[in-house]
Amino acid sequence: MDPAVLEGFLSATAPEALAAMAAGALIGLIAGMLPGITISSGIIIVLPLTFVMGPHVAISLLLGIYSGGMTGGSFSAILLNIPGTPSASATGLDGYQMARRGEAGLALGTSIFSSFFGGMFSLICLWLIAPQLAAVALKFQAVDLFSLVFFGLTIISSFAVQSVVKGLLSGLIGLILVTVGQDPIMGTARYTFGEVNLLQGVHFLTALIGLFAIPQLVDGIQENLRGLARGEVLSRFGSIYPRWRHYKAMTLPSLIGSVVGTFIGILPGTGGPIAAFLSYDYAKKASKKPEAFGTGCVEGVAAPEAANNAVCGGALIPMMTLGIPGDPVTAILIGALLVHGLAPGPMLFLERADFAYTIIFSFFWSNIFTIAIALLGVRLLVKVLDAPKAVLIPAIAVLCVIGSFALRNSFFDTYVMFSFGLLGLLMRWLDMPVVPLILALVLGRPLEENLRVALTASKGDASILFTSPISLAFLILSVFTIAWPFLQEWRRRGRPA
Amino acid sequence: MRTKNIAAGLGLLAFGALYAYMTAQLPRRLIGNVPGPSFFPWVLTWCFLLLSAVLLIQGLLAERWSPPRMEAGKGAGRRTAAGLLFLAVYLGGLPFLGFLLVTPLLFAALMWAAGEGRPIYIAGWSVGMTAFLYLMFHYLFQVPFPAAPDF
Repeated sequence: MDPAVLEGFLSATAPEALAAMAAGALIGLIAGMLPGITISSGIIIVLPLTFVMGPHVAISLLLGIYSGGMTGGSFSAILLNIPGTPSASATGLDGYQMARRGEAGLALGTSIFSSFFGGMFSLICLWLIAPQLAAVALKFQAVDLFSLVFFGLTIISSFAVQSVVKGLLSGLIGLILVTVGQDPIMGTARYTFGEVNLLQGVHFLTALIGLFAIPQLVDGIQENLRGLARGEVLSRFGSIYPRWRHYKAMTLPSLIGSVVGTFIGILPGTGGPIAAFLSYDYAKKASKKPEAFGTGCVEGVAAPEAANNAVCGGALIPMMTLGIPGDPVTAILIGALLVHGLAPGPMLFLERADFAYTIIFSFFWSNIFTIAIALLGVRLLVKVLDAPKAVLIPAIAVLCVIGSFALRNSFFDTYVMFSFGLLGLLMRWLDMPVVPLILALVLGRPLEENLRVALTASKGDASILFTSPISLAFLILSVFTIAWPFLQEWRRRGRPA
Repeated sequence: MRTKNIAAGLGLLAFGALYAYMTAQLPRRLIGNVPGPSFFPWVLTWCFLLLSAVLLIQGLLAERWSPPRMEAGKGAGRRTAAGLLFLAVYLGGLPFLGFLLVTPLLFAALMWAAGEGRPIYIAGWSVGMTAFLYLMFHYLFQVPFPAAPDF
């Protein structure tokens, strides 16, 4: 056996790592379950704790939240018809109908088991694909890496939003913010206004905390004041263990959800909601009783739940092998790893293969802990749905201040966090998506660095971007990605009404 | 939507112009044939200005129609603004007054902003949560927050 695999296994099964995963799965289940608290927010809240942990413990905690959060989102979708996470939106279509019929336990059980199935399926794909993809990516030159990162940015901007122009502008704002601080090649100070704290640039996690937490704070206050009815949480919902015929019924939809979810997860910028609705649609088309979908059937819960958990493993593939985050959660994971001096990307498998396998094994254990805690504690966990939001809102605010301070023990970062929060609110008011900005903050530095290294190597000759076949392929894909939504719009307008 | 796109387009064009001005102050090339510190910012500047102009044109050409919006109400808007103001004041006072003094105040203020009106409930949660967070982060996780007033 490869010693790196063994080391990875041992790190992931260390008692402190297992404890962190169990805690993470529990926090994730709760965060995912609470409407308005996203998985990203759950991760951000515990982020300051990870700074004092070893990297293997930190990643265990965060992966536990990621996995648990995806499963927890379905609980409120089933019991209240309010999805805890956007990824659980499709689950409510049949899950809530089952709950109304008195089969809430069966719906929860189906969700838990199919989520586990999806998570484990994507884990196998992660195990098989990631090392191979990393080996290919290692052959990339700086120019190829630039084009790859550029492609990642364009796909994110065009997939994530309704308006491509606003998506691209949001990404550009992120790239502009990355240029603050010392430039990556020569160390020249740029846009620092003489402020020493800005020399290191804007810390990605500080920005992220503000962009997520402050709008969340505003939403929380407004929702609480509007007194949005949450409905009554069911305290009695029967057995959560499906019978044999239910397992048989959920097998094909779970498989469809797992394949779709893993594939969608690999594509940057797509994410759980798209995977869940696509797999729901495919499962319906593949079903012998498509008319049962929407009326409360096991298949309608299994497909989207398997899909949104399979997205997790899928999203880890480009994150680990190419350093490209597929969604905000993997962007936060990259930031958390960078704090510990570990840069996800092809070099991770070369220089720290043991840690790459630690991530893979941690994801495995996270799925195990998620199903175990969900099955054993679902009756207790759903009581969290009654938690007073007036207490949660200030707690999140204080935790975010602590988190941004703890990064570098600097009050300057807390001001930066607040400023980014206001920027997030402004962008939301202007209907500009914030996700491209977040991902540009992660990808901006490698984008500039690789472009300048490539141009330096070619003595300033920009044709190198088009003479390298790999680079050219990514650039063509990028142009196609940007042009595709415009072409679709043009075709739609050209069609007679 | 139309008004927002025009406002966003104008605002972003102004920001782009400011960024271009600051980029012009950066050294262009320090070594011959090697892109300097201002190379990448210039690429961003032109892309940004171009897209901002496209957004402005989209806004000007769009029909005068706005989708119906769910308003939060005046009270909710005021309390939300107050919540943000409380947080800003908290961040300003934290380095000087210390965590233990200002955190319960922020907690109470935000609970009020979120619609909680029971004084004892607010006081209990504010003091209790502050103590819990302080013990956890200061002692367990060694985050060096100033605990008390700095005078």
